[in-house]
Amino acid sequence: MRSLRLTATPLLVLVWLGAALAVLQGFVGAGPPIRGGASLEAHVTGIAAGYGAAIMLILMSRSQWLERGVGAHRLARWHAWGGSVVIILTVAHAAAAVQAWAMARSIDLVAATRDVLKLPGLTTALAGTVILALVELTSLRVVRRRISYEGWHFLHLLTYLAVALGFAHQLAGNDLAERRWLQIAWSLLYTYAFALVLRWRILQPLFQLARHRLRVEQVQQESPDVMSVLMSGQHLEELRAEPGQFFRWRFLTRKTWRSAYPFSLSAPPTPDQLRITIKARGDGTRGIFDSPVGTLVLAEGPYGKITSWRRRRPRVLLIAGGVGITPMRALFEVIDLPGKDVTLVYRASREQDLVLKHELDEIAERSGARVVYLVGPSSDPANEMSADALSRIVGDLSDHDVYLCASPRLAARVRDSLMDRGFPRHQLHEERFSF
Amino acid sequence: MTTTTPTTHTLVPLAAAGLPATPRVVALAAFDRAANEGKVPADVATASLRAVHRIARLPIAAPASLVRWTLRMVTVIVFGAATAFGVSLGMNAPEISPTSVVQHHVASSDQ
Repeated sequence: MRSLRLTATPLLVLVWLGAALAVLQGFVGAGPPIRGGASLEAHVTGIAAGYGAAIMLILMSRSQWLERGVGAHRLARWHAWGGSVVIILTVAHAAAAVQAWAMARSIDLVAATRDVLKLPGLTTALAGTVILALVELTSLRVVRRRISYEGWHFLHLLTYLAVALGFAHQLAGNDLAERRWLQIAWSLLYTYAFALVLRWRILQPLFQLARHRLRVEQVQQESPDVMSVLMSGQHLEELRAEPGQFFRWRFLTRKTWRSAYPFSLSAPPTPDQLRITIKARGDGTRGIFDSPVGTLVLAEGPYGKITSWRRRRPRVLLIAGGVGITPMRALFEVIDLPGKDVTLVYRASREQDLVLKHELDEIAERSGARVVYLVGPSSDPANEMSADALSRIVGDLSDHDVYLCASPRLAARVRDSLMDRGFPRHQLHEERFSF
Repeated sequence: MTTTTPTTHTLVPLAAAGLPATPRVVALAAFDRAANEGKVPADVATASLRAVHRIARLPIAAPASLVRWTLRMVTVIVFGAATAFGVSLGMNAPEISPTSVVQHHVASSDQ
C-alpha cells in the first residue's frame, strides 16, 4: 500500500483556505461594530490566532504524511514564521478584546481587564497567552543565543499546554457559540491536531523502540569535537531509511532523555546498524558522547528528502561544509553513476576538522569517484565556494544534481551563487539544520 | 545471597497447552515453575520479571506485515477516539457566549 503523503502546494492551499474561512467567520461573529473597530479586531485576530495555533501543532506533529511530502526544513520554516504570527495575533486579540469591553461598558482598561478575566475560560487563556509570549521572547535571535537548546526546547514544549489552556475560551467565544456545527468542526480541528502529535511524536518513537531495540554499540572519536555513534538494533530495514536522511534521536540517559536532536546518518543503514556523526555544540550533544554502550535510543524518522532518488541529471556534485559531511558521506558511498561521475567537495577550516576523511578516500578509491578538499581560511581564493569556483572543479554545472549540506552561512552563500547564475532550483537538493 | 540460573522456558509449551501467551499467563506460569522448584520468593519474583520481559519482547518476532497492520489499527483507533472526543466537546460547548450577552445588552441600551 502506498503511504499517504501531502505535498507542499496542496497543503498550503488547504491551510490558506481554512485561514480565509476562519477570518470570514471572525467578521460574521463580530456582527455590526459596537463603538469602533476594537470589537471587530478582537474577533478577527482571535479566530485567526486559534486557527493558526492548531495549524502550528499540525505542522510540527512530525507526521510522516507531512514530513515526507513537504520536507522537514520547510515545515520548520513555516512553523517559525507562522508561530510568531500566531503569538502576535494572540496578544493583539487580548489587547483588542479588553479595549472593546472597556468601550462597550464605558469603563477604564484596568476595570475592563478585571471584568474580562472573570469570564469563563479567560484566566486559563491568559495563562496560555503568557506562556506563548515567553516562547516568542526566547525565540528571538538575541535571546535564543544566550540559552541552551535544551532550555529553549523545554519552553517550546509548554506551547502544547498553552494551546490547550486557550481552547475552552475559543469554544465559548461568540464567533463559535450559537453555531453548533462550527463548535464541532473547531473541536475536531484541535482533537485531530493533538491526535497527530500523539500518533507521531509519542506512539511512533515508542513503537520504534519496542520493535527495533536501538542501542548504542560504540562511540568513536573522529576529531577533537566530533564523535560517531554506532547503534545496533533489529529489523532496521523496516525503517526504509536511506543515505542522506536524518532521524531525531533521543538518547535515554539521565542527562539527555529530555531532548531529541536531528542528526543525519553518516553511513548507509544496514538491517542491524545505524551510524550518526555528531559535533559537540552544547551540554546536550556532549552528553550524548558520554552515553554508555547499551544506552537505549528513541529514534523518530527517517526524515529528509536528499536521497539518491532525487537525482535527475547524469552527474552529481556533493557539497559539504564542516560536520555537514555526514549525509554526504552516506550518499557518496551509494550514488552509483555510469562513468562514476560523482564529485564531493568538502570544505573545512582546518585539516583536523575533516572528519571521516579516511572513509571518503577509501570510497573514492574503490568507486572511482572524486573527492576535493578545500581546507583553510575562506579568504583564500582557492577555497571559494561560488558557482564559478565549483564550475572550475566539475565543469558544466547544469549537467549536475547538486546536493548541499553545510553551515547556514556557507549553504546560503553556495545557494545564492548558484541561483544568481541561473542554476535550476529543482536540481539543488538541500537539508538545512539549525538548532 | 541467592543466585538463580537463567530460565530457559519458551512460550511454546503455553501455546501448545492452548493458553494465550499474555504477560499475565507467562508470569504466572514462571511463578508456578519457580515455586515448584523450591526457590525463595526473590528468585520467584526474578523469574516472573524475566518472563514478563520476554513477552514484552514479542513484537520483535512479529512479521513486518503484522507490525504494519498493527500500526495502521493504532492510527485508526487514535483518530477514531479523536473524532468521538471532538464531537463530544463540540456538542457540549456553551450555546451562548458570555461576551455576546454583554454585547447584546450594550447594543440594546444604545438604542
